[in-house]
Amino acid sequence: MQNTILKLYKKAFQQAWPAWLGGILLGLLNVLEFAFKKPWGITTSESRWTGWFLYALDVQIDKAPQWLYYQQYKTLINPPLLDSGTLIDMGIIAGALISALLAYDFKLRVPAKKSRLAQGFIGGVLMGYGARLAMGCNIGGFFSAIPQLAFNGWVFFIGLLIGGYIGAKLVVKL
Amino acid sequence: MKLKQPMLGLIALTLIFIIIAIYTYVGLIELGIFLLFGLAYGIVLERSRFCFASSFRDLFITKDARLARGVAAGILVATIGFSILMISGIRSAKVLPVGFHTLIGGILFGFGMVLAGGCASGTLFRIGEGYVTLWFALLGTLTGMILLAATWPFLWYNYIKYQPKIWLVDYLGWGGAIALTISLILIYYIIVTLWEKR
Repeated sequence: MQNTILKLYKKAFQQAWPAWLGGILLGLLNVLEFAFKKPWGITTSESRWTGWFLYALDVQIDKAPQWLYYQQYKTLINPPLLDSGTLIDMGIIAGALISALLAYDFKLRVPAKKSRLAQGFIGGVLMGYGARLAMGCNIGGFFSAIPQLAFNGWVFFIGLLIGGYIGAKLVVKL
Repeated sequence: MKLKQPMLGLIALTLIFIIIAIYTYVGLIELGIFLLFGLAYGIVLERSRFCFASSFRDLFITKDARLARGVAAGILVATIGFSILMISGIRSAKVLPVGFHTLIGGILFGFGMVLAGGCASGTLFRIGEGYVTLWFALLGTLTGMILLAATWPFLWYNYIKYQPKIWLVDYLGWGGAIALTISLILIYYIIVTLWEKR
């Protein structure tokens, strides 16, 4: 009995699951979340974090016309602990941490080349700008958009292929 | 240290369930369920190392299509499930304005995620795994969002506001929209598989 449990544990937490299984499970979770309330998304709430940050610095994001973005996305309607998307995002970090710990696999991984950190930051800036320009990221604008039968999901997908191709050609040279 | 990790994992898991219990107790069970969804996404993403950035990068660098097929499989499952929910009228689609901003946003995002080594979801789950580079990626993402918000009125009033929301069902009906979507996903699946074998 104990052996069976140990074996199952090893299978679930010490070997990586195949990509097809991950994809199908994420698709199913997305269906469940849509049935529950709304499709999966990540960056709308992340952009609210930046609004809260600016608001804390006394920037009038609720009134000033130049901060239209934050008004359109109802940034101040809920405090952080009541924002459902923030709970999803925090849950993802917590879930990944827990799952890495259960697999003996958590480690503070500092890259050997410090330039990788700058590469991460610059890549992040482009992602943040691009996701909100398109009004959705690889989840809300793609993984959840195509299943909603929305044309914008396919256009974003073509963008991802072009950008991903250019990015791949560049990173092999770095 | 190494033996302690699963213990810490169980403690963290307990903490999350206590937080969910608190949300439920104060009458906000819906938020507790969202946290639970996040937890489930995080576990699946981490266990299967499911990263959209890698799915495109691997395709172009090592010609490994496993993740690309996983992405296609996930979208296929969601398309079937979402369609059932939408046809039965339980949920309705939220369609976004589509135009050059969608394409350029996709290019910037696609380039940025490969450069950073993680997409929006990949960044979050790798933060949980302890990858310091992705902490910088998240910081960059938030910075990029402030830049976008600062330029948003210009983009919105001059362009995005006028772009159409195109829902395939309005043009092709349910059958046509679902058939086209599923066919395109299968075509992508087949193309990446052939590309891998080349």
